[in-house]
Amino acid sequence: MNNKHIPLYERKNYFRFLLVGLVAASALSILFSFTVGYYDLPASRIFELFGQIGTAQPTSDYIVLMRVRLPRILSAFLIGAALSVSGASYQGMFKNPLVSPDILGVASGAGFGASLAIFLGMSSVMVQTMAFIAGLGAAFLSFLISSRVKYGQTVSLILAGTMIGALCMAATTMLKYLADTSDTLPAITFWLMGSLVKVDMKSLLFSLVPMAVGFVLLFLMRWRLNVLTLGDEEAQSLGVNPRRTRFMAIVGATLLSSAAVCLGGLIGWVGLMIPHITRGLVGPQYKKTFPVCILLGGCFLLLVDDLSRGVSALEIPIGVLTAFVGAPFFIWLILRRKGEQV
Amino acid sequence: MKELVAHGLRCGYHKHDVVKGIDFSLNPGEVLVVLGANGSGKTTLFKAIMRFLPLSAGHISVDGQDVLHMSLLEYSRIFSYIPQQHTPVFSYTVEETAMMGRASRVATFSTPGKEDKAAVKKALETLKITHLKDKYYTRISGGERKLALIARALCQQSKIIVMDEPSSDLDYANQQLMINTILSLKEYGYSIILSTHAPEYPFSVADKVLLLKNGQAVSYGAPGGALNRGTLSHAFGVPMDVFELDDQKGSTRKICLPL
Repeated sequence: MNNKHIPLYERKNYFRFLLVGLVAASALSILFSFTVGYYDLPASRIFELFGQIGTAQPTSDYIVLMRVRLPRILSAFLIGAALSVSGASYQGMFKNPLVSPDILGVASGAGFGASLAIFLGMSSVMVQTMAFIAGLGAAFLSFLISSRVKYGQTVSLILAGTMIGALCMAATTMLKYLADTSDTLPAITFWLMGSLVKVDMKSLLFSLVPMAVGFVLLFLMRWRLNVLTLGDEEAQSLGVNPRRTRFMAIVGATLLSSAAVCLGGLIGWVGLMIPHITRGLVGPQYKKTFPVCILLGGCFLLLVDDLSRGVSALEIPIGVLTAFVGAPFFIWLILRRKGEQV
Repeated sequence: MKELVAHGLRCGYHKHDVVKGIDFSLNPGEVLVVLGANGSGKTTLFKAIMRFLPLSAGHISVDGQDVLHMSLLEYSRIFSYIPQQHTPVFSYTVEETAMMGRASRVATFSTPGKEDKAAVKKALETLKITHLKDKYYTRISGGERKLALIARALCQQSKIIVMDEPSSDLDYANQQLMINTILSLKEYGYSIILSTHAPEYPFSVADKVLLLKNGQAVSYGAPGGALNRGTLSHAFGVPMDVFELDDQKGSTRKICLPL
């Protein structure tokens, strides 16, 4: 067969080259991101500043780098990675490439939790905590409802998730309606737009723990998840309990998306788009999908965040930008593919 | 495994039985063909055998042991399942597809090991599809897809293979390939339960045939006895008969034709 007709991902050593390329791209993006921002900090200065770690009297350059940009860069990368891995897992377990990490109402739930905390005038730590808990709660509620249905769990999960999501959004709207228009309403609105402005090391560490648990759980299940994409009946005939396996995968994916949302607010498109591109690159096998999702998703969100803080003096909300970048890209991708399926 | 016995199987949807009291038995190395028109209850019966649907009555035993209360894992080591032709949303390579047959032997948080890879290699060799191993499932022909799924069943190392309409959607050459594959699986000692709506199919492969209409058995036994003008015409709702032909090698072949 002519070499041209072999899809890229069927070629030898392709995966290794891709992974090395993505690691290099991630490193470069991270380095580049340190230089982006209102405060001028050239690349040469950055290495110098890293040499000063642990010094007693930090300069203002050092503070900008370590306390402002570093947590923000790490957060952007981690959120991108978490949303992508979460999206890839949900898409597999629901056998549906159009599923996003919000499918069980996690983002809407987290949005409601954060809005309520802001509405009640709580501290930023509490806003993050409430967002996380409400995100988990929404997914748990969706799962609980669907588990009462005896058959067709995937459809009932999606329906329950949509309903819980709608309820949370209605509740959020109600809070916005009641909120003080001078300060509370803008605060809620900005949170919901998605932003990494307020991210610091403390909030990053808060999200890091559930993210790590989610990553590890899903990574350990990477082979078993493939079996789940065959559907419940086939999985069962192969000796795999689909409900139990799906429950574990939902726990992992929900921890990831809740932790991501409570750190950066509502950031759409990443969890839908990156897994889709990844499967086009390496196929659906999770052993390959997960690492590529982590690197590609991380890079993507990092660069979008650079755009959001670098383009103008006024920050553009990152959730808005991911949609501006993501939606046209997705349309281009679908048009280019001409209906071919991976 | 010695013998599979199913007795008085009843099952259906929403408290309405579609399969209404079916009995059959199967010895090692035997092929049972479940024959019937569309809507006769073949697929529902298979769903019950695979425990995708609960039985409302009846029992299934293997070697005298009730299998309906076994764990999923134990069950998957007795029965493997080959679904009807379908296009999966996510397409894996033939090798990866076959590897999934090892799921019951790979722990939840683990990945396939040497033994699993050896089993896949052997299954692909047995079915002569090693050259397809890196091809994606959606990029191969219907007949090759069936072979990939059979490879998966072989990797599962269960003694009974349940095939839902293995030859539907296949062209003539691939139908013959499937018949030959089924016959060679039988040689290897596998027991096979398969369904079809092609009336002469049982004559090529079956040791036993179960002819269904409206979820009930019209006849059951060796194809020569169970399939005749009366039973087939009744089951399919068109007048038809079995004719004998002598082929060039001097053996007698049977075909079904409408009257």
